[in-house]
Amino acid sequence: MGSTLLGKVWDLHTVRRLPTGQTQLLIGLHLVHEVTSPQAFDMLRLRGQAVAFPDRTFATVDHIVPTDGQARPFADGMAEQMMAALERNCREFGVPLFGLESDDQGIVHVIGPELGLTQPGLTIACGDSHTSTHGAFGAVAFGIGTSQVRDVLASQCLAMDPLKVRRIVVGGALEPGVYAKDVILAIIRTLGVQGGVGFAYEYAGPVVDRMAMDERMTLCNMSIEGGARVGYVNPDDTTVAYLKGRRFAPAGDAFDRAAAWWRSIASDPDAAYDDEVRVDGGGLSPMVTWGTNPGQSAAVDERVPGPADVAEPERAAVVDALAYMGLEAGRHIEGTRVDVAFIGSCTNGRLSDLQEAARVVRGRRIAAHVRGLVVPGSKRVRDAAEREGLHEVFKEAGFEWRQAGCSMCLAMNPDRLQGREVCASSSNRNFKGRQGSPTGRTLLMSPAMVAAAAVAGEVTDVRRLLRHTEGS
Amino acid sequence: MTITGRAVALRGEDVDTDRIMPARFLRAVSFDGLEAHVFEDDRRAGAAAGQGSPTGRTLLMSPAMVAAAAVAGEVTDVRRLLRHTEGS
Repeated sequence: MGSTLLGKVWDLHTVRRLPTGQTQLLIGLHLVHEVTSPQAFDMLRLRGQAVAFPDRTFATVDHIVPTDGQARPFADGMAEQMMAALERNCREFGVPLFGLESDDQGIVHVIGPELGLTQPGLTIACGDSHTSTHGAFGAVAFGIGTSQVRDVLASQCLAMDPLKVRRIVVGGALEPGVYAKDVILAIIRTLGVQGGVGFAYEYAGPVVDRMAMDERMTLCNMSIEGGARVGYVNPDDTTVAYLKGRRFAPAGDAFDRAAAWWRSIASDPDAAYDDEVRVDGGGLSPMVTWGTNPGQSAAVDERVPGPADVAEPERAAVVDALAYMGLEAGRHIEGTRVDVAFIGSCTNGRLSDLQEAARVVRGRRIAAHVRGLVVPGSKRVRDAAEREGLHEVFKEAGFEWRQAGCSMCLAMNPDRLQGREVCASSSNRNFKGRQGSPTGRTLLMSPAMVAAAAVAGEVTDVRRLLRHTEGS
Repeated sequence: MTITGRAVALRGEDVDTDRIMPARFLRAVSFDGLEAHVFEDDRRAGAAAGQGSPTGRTLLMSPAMVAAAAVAGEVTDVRRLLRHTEGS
């Protein structure tokens, strides 16, 4: 009987089994940002400890940075304090920092892969839920809390509960206008926001095999929204090709040796899984969330469900979500008016996301009542998009073209919803208040669907616009 | 392990992290003061829910203060109005 990638990587990084039944797991790469690290560094200071492996620790700034002007000091005093604390901590503890002055700055889950820091077979930890993104490369990557950030800084180890593995096979082929975002929203709708608790999700099947790395990152990014702390894709030719020539990837003969090893840690064909789920990729439509968790979604051509459509235990949650969202059961989600369109985030702020959105808006204008923001996930994404002229496409359509950061995904910076605004958003969480207004409303969808909603001024099926684009 | 303390019942299931601590309050360099914002939006919504709107806001006060606020169109100190009443 063979092993899964999770099993192989876990075993290779096991320091010892703890009396609690947990594993003391060595962390190969620790990514740090300004929000979950200041208290962790302070706790190290109080204990007189150093960072154990500063050469396996990398920091950047993303959550709090303004995206419409990054001159220091920031207008917001707390943001400035957090930035200054990260700079001081990195200086004093010898941790490399990709700060605002660096060409490498960006959302931590965008720059790790760009720099080639993210590699197959690594264990990767970061004080951020969406660390599962890095699993796209066949790494075992997961989010941790601030006290665990302290533990990794001090020891490069974590005490971890064992994980089961659920293989999710996405068969068939996606229709044009249906993306990785739609696949993961459909998976979370089916398995639930708690469905993945205790599991790592291994994504496989022809749809995943054909996905580019950007798309695999979108897929793995939202594993955590389905309750799975870890999501991964087995390394293959696409993975190896992406990493070749990246700054922190091995070069020359060392790259070939690494690539051979990367392939060897993929799950064996006869690996045993704790569970297996099959999804028909060909049957998927663009997805839109109608509720207040990422599992509450519908295909764009479906109706908003009501309490009668769900099992008794879920009814109260549906009633509560509809009341908050101001949506009516039984009505089509298509046609829901939007006030704000946000394209960006660690889920969908990469170059291919901007390319797909630009395809939709090229030659069109966004609706007069819609405020549109395009926020590249990193400076490199921004530069690459500008070389293709995408910034002009967005600006001509009426979007604001911003600098790299987390922006309106989570409102820890000046980009926020106002009042009960409805936002078509390419981000990952539609929790109440998530986008900065305690009553703001979020509709999660793919970047292309956000672009289509911006143009129409309401939720619309991007496939119709794409057909028109191709036909014109 | 035993944990002793006061338990508070929460409404709803799948309580997300932005319920527990809305991200906009996580801008800090220490742990000091975080406790002020635990379940901030739910506590505000909970206080208002008794009056029917999920986003309505309630200011509790005495009937005399309510009457004063109605007259002034804003919260005002009823004692000022009462003094004026007595004097007239």
